[in-house]
Amino acid sequence: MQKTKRYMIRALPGLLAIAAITGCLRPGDPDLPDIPELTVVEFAEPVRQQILAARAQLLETPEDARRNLRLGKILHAYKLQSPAIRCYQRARELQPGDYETAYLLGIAQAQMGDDAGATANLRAAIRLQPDYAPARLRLGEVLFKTGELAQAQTLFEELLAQEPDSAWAHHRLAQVLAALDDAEGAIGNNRRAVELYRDFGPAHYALALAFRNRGDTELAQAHMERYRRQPKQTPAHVDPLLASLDALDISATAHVRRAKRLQASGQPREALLALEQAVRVEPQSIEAHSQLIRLYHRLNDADGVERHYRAVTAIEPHAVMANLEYGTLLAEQGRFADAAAAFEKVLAAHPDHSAAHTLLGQAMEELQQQAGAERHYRLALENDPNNRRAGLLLGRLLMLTDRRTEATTHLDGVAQHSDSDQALYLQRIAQVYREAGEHERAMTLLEQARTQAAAQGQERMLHEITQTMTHWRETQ
Amino acid sequence: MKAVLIWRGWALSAVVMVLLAGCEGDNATQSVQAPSHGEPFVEVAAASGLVFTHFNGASGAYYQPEVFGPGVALLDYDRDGDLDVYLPQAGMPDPGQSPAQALFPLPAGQPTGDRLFRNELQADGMLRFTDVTDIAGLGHAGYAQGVATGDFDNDGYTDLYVTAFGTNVLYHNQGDGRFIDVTSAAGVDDPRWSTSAAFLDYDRDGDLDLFVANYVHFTVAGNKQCAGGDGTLDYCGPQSYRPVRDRLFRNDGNGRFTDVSDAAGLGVAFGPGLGVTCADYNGDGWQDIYVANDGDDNQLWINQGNGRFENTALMAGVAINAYGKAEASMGVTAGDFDNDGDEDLFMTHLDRETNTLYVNDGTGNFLDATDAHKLGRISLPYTGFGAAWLDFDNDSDLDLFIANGAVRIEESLRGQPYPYQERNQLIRNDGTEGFTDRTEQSGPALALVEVSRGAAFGDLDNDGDVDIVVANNNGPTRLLRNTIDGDNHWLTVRLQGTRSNRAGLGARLALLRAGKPPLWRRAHTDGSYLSASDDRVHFGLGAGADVQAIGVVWPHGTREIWHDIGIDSFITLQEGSGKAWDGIP
Repeated sequence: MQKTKRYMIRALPGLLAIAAITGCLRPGDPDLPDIPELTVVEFAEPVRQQILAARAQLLETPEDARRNLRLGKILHAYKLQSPAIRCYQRARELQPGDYETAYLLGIAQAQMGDDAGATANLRAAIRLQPDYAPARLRLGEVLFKTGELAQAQTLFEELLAQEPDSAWAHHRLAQVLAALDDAEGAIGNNRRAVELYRDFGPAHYALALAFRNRGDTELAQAHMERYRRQPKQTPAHVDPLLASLDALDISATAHVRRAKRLQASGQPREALLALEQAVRVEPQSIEAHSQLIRLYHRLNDADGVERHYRAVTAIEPHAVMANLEYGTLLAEQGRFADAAAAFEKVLAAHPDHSAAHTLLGQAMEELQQQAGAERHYRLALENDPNNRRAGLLLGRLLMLTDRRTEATTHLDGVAQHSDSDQALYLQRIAQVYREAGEHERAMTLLEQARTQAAAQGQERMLHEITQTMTHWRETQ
Repeated sequence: MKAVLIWRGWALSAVVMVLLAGCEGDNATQSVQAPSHGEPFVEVAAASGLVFTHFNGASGAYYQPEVFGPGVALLDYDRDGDLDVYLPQAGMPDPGQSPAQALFPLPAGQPTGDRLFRNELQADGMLRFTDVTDIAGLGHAGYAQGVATGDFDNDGYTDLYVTAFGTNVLYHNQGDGRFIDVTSAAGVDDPRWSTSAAFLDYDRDGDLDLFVANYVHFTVAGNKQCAGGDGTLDYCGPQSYRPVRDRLFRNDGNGRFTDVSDAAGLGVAFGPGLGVTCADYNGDGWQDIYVANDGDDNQLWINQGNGRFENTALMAGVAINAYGKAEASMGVTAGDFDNDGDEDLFMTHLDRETNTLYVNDGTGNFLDATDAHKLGRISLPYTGFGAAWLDFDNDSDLDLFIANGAVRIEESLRGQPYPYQERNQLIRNDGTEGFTDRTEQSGPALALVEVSRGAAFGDLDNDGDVDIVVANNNGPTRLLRNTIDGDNHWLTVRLQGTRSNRAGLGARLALLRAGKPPLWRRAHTDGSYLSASDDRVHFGLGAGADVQAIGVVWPHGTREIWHDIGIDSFITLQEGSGKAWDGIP
């Protein structure tokens, strides 16, 4: 074990190991579980301090239910469910009427696979606060998992009486009904679920299989197509108690998570602040630095990119996202040799990285190293035949070197994918054919691109394609 | 037409075995205890000389390959009529580290590298194994993971394909007790992290092709660090790395293979592959491929009969479970557990997920029937790897054995040196009543708590029932000798292809019974996890053995039938020696 500890300290220089917290008090009611002794927890300093402070406060007044609950919540926020459960259990003993404690204890137990404990405590939470709908949903899920179908059905039906527009409740009830061989009931509830939340991936999947079983191929295909587009998309869970755990998480990971949400909602400056906070909390966070490089790159802040690239490569020279983003920035600046060096750093540790091969090939093409470029495009495709960028670039390179048959094979392959990027790729393929002098084929592909863009509602792309078509017609 | 009976001499019927049980053998190392009633297996690895401990090279860095191996193969490499055992071995995942840096050293005296143990089955039915690795020219010294078996050159001797974190190896069985490495000449290396592999004749040209499942892009230099439930280091999940595509190698019939992965259309979908099983899932006469992926959609590659495959897993209902969730699929086994003439799939998953049973409707569409057959709840506490449909009690129903072992620290074992141990499971098929976990009632052999991975299934002592070899990660190999007795009969069939591949892998056999539905079984060595099983086909017949005939659907497409089949025996059916058969009416 000594060897393990030595390695961990060497391997995680940025993380401070919490020294064993020993000799804690065990005062109070002997029936209460002990306050957990956290022996080998490794977190960044601010997180460590947060945990230690909450624990120190609890040790001052160990029978204070709120302090037990608070330490439990902090530990739970960092996914330390086992010690969190001990704290929740203490809080529950001390304040049996508190529904928040019962609920969070039940959630933590469910996460740890203690279905019996979870069932008891989630039931208690419902008894204490019948209006808190998420508890019914969670209890129903546990009961369903453990085969208590009738009880799960009752709970989901009660939940729907409480919240008739809950897509989750309809979907979960559909699962129970399907397990009870009530196919029509399951279809009805899943249909309602996708009416309430149109991109509900798992509900579309269930509908696809249900219609397949009924022999209705057309509906089955339609729902499967909807599933394929957004397989993991589900409605958000509105659960203030669980959300309160998220608010307690001050780790770099949590800041990165928030930053991603902010970026997705079009708030890049706010995302930047969250990421800078992440590296303040944990200066060794490769993920945070890498996200910062990406964001500074998008915001055209080369200094920001440079600063964080230096920081991240001091920690991990082969960091994938950091090197790919940095290399791309250098390529945009025309520094192709430096860009190639960044991509090669990734390949040194990840020799099968398809995107790195693609980018390195592109940089080599810029450096007039066509043979090398071709080799890396082929390696990119070898490792990921679905890499359309590599397929397009290889097809283009082959076309430029008059190997049209093989070029066409690759370009056709790229054109066959059907997703939201299809219009973009069709447009690019059209460009390749135009450069090769095949004007008619190019125009046909551009028309296909326009149709796709219109079908997908991609207004900007549609406008761009239309302009290109006009230009090509004028210059032909 | 009489079946060709060539192994009568080896066949020790259940009756003979009962007589021998009271004899005092000359094997001093054999310490098989008479089982108490209801304990179907006795663990006899060490007693029979099958002494091997897996070394995973764990050094505290939590390199992902450490936690995934090993597999095991059962094959009769010397054609002496009994199953020998091949055991892949790992090493240090980081070539820059020496074995002295390992937290769990190789036991003193155990050589490094893979090992081949020859079965020197005694006349009294006792098992005795001898390590013949060096004589056989084996002993692959890479970081091996699994093994597949098949006679790729149809010379009558079973060959070996060893998968690895690193270079895979194809060993050609020379027929004189020795193997040679023909990987380069055959063109079947894959430098990626390969896991399970399977020999199949996908193009029905009479020779065995090779499918290799690959896992993720892991490199020592790119090792990531993941935290477990208390913030301490633990092994990463598959999502930490990008998946690697699988490979299909076509046997060109001249000792060489061609990588046809792209030409066959297999490049368009892949995930972190761990398990593979090949069978004709849609009943069109062509071998299909099912790939179990860890935490990602599984693939069902339906053979189009023209050299190409189409992944139908999503609409077939076997990509993800009934709840729209991709599960951490590890091991997989195909078999007709409900006796309706098609191949059903069972696969193993992480703890807190259920193992999953997909029931085939005969057309290649499946229903997730896990809960309906009572297989969900009993699997929740375990992380399953190797698994197989087997009729352990010869009652004619296919039961299940599951090799379990965690991949993330077991909370209840935290603080122990290697806290990933779980017990394996024996699950009995109770017909219309569903399945029942019989582990608790199965005695000490099923009470072992270890980190099990691969499992291979076959009749090692030729007594008419199925034994199990379990390959443990960072632990000793176990041999669970089946000691079931009673009135149930059995029949074991070896196929001999002439137009089809020599061992008839991929053939479907229907044992026709009076007044009962036929029992369908498949000749195969694949399935489970990283492992290869007995290529003979075992039938449990129950107490009233009323066998009318055996029909065979050969991989090449022809159908034949044999009548006058004896029971409690081993028979060989040679392609072309039976009568033409129109199939089940």
